[in-house]
Amino acid sequence: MEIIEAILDTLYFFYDCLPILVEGLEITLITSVASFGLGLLIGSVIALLRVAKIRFLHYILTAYVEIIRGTPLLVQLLFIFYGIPIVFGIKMPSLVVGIVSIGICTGAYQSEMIRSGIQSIPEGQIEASQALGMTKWQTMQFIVLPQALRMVIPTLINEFIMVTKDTSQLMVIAIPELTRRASWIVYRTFKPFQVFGIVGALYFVMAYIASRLSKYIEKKYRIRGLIR
Amino acid sequence: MANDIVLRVKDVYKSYGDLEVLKGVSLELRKGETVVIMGRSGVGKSTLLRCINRLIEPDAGEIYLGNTKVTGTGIDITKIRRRIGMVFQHFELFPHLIALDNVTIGLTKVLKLPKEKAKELALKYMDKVGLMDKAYSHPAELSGGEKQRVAIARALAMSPDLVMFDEPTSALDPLLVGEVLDTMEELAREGLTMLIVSHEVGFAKEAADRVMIMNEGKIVEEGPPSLIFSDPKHEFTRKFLKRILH
Repeated sequence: MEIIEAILDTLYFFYDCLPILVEGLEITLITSVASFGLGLLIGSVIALLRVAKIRFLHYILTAYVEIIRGTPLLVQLLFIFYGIPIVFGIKMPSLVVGIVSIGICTGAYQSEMIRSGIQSIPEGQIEASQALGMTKWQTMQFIVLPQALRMVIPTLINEFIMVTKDTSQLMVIAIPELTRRASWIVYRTFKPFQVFGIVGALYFVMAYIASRLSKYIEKKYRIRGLIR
Repeated sequence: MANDIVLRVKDVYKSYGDLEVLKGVSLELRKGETVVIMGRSGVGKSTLLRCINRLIEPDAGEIYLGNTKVTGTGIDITKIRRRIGMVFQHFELFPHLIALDNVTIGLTKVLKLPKEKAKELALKYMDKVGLMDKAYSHPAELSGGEKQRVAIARALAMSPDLVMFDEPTSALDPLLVGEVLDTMEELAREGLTMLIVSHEVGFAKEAADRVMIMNEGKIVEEGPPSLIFSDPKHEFTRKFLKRILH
């Protein structure tokens, strides 16, 4: 009897927490999608610029990628959050700071993924398109990118999953996303085991959906007859 | 006479560091001619073809396609390349496109033909190489010989002044060589201007108007196949032919 009571108690507790957590989940999703999208934009541009081998840009972009990869996201986040108001004298909403920070970070990683995809396309493909009379950009657009992007879809979706989990670090700049809200509830109720349990499950469900989506997209865009 | 010359290559040089690959190659191709270039691997045959459409930048020399200058600065090479078809040893079909679209992509993106017109033309050339039934297959679903025939259709559809073949049968299963050579022979008969790097003696005898023998970055001997194969003048040609004819 006691066990059933305990289970019911827990269920009621979950039910009570849920509205607060779902709001947090919304913010987590919005920040994930927005910063991943920003990262995809940054990553694609940087990958293309690095492949184009423009000398003076090359050093700047390499430095960017190396610095981002070599420092923790949490440090980048705090640096931007406290740094921008000091250096530029403007205060941006923390949600914007969060999205931009994670965007800059994942952008560096995504640029490397896209670049490796582009560089994996054999030289002969480029020769064949140029021999047809395509310009460099046409070759990139119609021959290289369609093949390269197909190849990096799984890695990019994996990066999206990483980003959704990374957004939990936004709690340090007071964005009321999922993990921050969970800690509110824990402070009030002192039930960390149950609360972080649900939160973990919610992250897991997001990641799981994304990875199923990845399989679906991969299948949909698979090149017929080509075994990879 | 001068204006039936499709391709004129004059004193082309190319080195990679200390390695001199082309040491002053000159040749002329008349309209409708089929010329086969032979020579040991590594003597610069592929480099020569790639210099002609400037996939590789020659160090010195002049190249003309008809009356158009190919070499030199300030030339829009993409405009010239669309007039020179190229068929590669490893086919280089675009794997993400079906066979038909491998042919149409140059028509729609480079020549800017409307989609319907491009498809019509592409189907015509797929039919010409005998692959009407494979038009909607992806390259990975085709045999080597079929891939190379699609590659030929891709080159032909652009209505080029000249088609270059870089060892088009070297990567093929011996059983599949015939179908590609048959297609090429037919094109030769129809009067397509072709510059072919190949080791297929039988094909050269049958279809070539002239054979050129290349050694150490130069063309050492050239002439009609009947002459080159039966009575070679140059010492190298004799040794080389002995090895491949045996």
